[in-house]
Amino acid sequence: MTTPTGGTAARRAAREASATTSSKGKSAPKSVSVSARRRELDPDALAVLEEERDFLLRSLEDLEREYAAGDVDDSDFEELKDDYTARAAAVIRAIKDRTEAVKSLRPQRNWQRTALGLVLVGTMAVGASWVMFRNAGTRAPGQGLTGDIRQDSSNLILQAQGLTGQAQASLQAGDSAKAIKQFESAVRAYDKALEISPENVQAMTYRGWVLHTIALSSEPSVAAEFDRQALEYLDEAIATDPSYSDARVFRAILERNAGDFVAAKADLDAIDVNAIPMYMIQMVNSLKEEVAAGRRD
Amino acid sequence: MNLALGRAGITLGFAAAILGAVTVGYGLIRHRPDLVRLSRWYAGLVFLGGLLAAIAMERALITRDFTVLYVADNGSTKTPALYNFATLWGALEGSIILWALILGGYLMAVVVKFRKRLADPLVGWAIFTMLIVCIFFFWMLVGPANPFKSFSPPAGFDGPGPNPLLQNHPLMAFHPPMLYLGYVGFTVPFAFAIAALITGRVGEGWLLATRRWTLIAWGFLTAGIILGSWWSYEVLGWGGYWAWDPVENASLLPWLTGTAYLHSVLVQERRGMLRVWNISLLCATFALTILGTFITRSGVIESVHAFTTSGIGPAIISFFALIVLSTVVLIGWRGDRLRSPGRIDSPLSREGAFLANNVLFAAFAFVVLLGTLFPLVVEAINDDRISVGVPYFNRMTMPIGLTLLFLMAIAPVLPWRKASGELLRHRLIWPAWIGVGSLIFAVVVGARGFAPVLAFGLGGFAAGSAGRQVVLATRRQGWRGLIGRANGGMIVHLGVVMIAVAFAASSSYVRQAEFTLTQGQSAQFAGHELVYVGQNTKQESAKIVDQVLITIDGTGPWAPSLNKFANGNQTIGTPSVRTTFTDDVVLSVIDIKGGENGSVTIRVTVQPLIMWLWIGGGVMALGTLLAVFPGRRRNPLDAVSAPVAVEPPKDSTGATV
Repeated sequence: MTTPTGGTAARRAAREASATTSSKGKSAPKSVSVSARRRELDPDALAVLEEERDFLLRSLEDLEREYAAGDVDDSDFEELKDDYTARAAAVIRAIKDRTEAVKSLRPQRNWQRTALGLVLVGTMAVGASWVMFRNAGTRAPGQGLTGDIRQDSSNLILQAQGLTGQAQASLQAGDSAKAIKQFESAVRAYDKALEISPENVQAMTYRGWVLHTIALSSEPSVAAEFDRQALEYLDEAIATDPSYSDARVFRAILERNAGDFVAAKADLDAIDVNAIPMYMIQMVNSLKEEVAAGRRD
Repeated sequence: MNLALGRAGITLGFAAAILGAVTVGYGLIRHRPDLVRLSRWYAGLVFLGGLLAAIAMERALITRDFTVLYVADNGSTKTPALYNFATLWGALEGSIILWALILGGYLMAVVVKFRKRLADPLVGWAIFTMLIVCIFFFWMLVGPANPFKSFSPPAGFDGPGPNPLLQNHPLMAFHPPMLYLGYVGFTVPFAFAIAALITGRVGEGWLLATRRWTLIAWGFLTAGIILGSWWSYEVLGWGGYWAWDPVENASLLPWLTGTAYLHSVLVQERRGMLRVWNISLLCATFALTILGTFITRSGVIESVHAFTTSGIGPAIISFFALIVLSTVVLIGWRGDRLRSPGRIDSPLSREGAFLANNVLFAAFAFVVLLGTLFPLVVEAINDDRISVGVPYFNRMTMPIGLTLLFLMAIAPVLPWRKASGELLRHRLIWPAWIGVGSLIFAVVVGARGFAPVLAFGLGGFAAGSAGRQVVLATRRQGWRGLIGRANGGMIVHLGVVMIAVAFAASSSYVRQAEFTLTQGQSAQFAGHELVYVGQNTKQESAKIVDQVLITIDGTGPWAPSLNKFANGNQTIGTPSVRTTFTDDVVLSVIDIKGGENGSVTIRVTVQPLIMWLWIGGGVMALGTLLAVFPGRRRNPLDAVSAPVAVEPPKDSTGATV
């Protein structure tokens, strides 16, 4: 037979509980200390009582088995059974009293308060989601799921170039709305680069070029404004570093598109062909031919 | 030898955890205390298994035993000794060994601490729960994350060494173990919470048994997060310490819920309220440590689809689901018993303030969790790769943080049950003046902007309030006024205030710029003069270090560098930081041009009060240590500070029963 831990405490608790219950009917105590009431309502004491009840009921079963097997004589059986039954009854009564006492002391559920709580939680969730949507954007290559470190200008330019590539892929897939968002993200990345490195000609040049690319897929009324802004950035880049060929090539393209072949020729002539990358040489040469022939495209 | 020893260790740990769980579980169900007491042996064997595995791996790393695949993948003869030792936790499989070792250690500690109560069902079920957690982690070691796979190295083989970023600063040797001691430490209170739900002993007994364990785990997690930020600041070279990236968020989430729990548990101890909430918070904290492991270790950060290709991701997410499901079912089962018989009398009371504190911490955790999981959900649903930016986290958490600072000022002086206006005026007058003084001082020295100035004022208010409590306690109790949960907690509050003020200042007034300089050239930035004085190249065992020498305001030279690692041909930068009590100047090299001109491009970041972040972290650690020591003995279930007679119960019409 097993003995549950805390059995003595359980019996004491059962006795105390029974005493409280029996006196309740006659005259309830005028004031009960908070700590005494807390102990009375403590779920741990209830759990100990339940453990005691399980133990006594198990013991009764064991006793029946032992009696049936002939290990216990009649008089012992009767005496032990009565004792177990009385103790089990006292514990069960104590459990019932405590459960009822807890229920009676439990405050009524305030539905208005619950509803208010739910509304507040819902508002908070909706508000957080709204702010999140506003601050979520296309993930640039190398960028994390969340947050960001303060990138240096070269990383920001790389990020912007990656976004530009994604935008062009979106354009080819026919999703111009997505492409515009990606172009805008690229512009923001160039802006950040210029914030920490205001004389960065690469950032100025490619920011301008992205604006021109946006202009190409925009309505004519707004395209002119984008091209005007693009030209401003390219002008600034060339003013900062007149030998930076990328800016000259891009400005020449814009000038050619605008029909200003003289200015375009001047920019192309200013490029040192020996200092530009291989892939650009062909582009510069064909541009020169177009400008010389006065062709726009 | 190392392979055999390691495999023996993980097999021993796994087998002992299974046998232990079966034996203890059977003993508890069949009421066999003799079987439950055997848990001490199984706990010892689990710990021994973890220890053997860790020793075997360290030995393999130190002896450069490339027949162990993990060493071949992450070790190198060129790695310096400290980083070679720290390689144990530098990659997935090794970090699971560390996790299992710490878990075994905690299990052993619980068995030793409760050695006289092993047959108590509460302790028995707690040990059973811990053994189940052990089974999972040792299963990872023998299964999908086995660190003791063999490898046949060709002659002259040398491994690539750990990720260069992990061998660039000594903090790498301390930050992950601290973090893991925190993560794993929450297993203990979680196990007792589950045991309380199973046994129905959901009163205050299990709280008292575990409150110190919770505090210790929280202290380690706090130290781990602070050290992680410091490492990031000293190594990554972007001039910041907190980027809201998923790995950082994963560590912050359990810290937030754990902090909420440390406060709300007081309400249950004193008033018997918030039982469901406390158990839910604790289970959420443990579940979030597992979710954090999933986020950081499953490959889901690279791509949401990557985690299914390894066995790790599905295993961890399944375990997380099991924890959540079991907790919800158990809380539902015990729901009736968990309902408290009392109610908060007044919002202007200690318990009211703790409740508000918990709502704010829960909102904070929700914001971080939403922002972290949303990109994963979007990618899983429609393959769109999005990123949630820093502004979302800053905008959402700033008002919560400021309100928490305000509560930190008010709550410590509030009595339980109800406070009068007169009492509050009396207790808050000095803290309020300190707050006003801080605000004026901040404005006078040049602070601008609503949020940072308010943060300085509230910081002063909260520091004044915590300081007042410490002064009163030491006046009453002498040196003992510094120890114990309440007094140590006030020291922790002082540390939090330092961090909050430093965070507000450094994030609001950061200035950053890039300069390209030739030798002898100088630049002026944010009130500092930088002069490029030359270059220096050093050959170290694992890397070639190209240093750029720069003086700041005539001090130095400071030497930010580019490090070219021999293995992998990776080049990473190491910043150089000039720290003072007022501001930090961080220098990072972006580019070093060769040739006659020899120009260098550097990034300069100037941020005020950064040093106070680390000092604040130290103060928090000290406060936690003081809180762990037992203070003046007091029965935590005793009467509250403003005793109120128990009112007789009322029926639904409001009439007295």
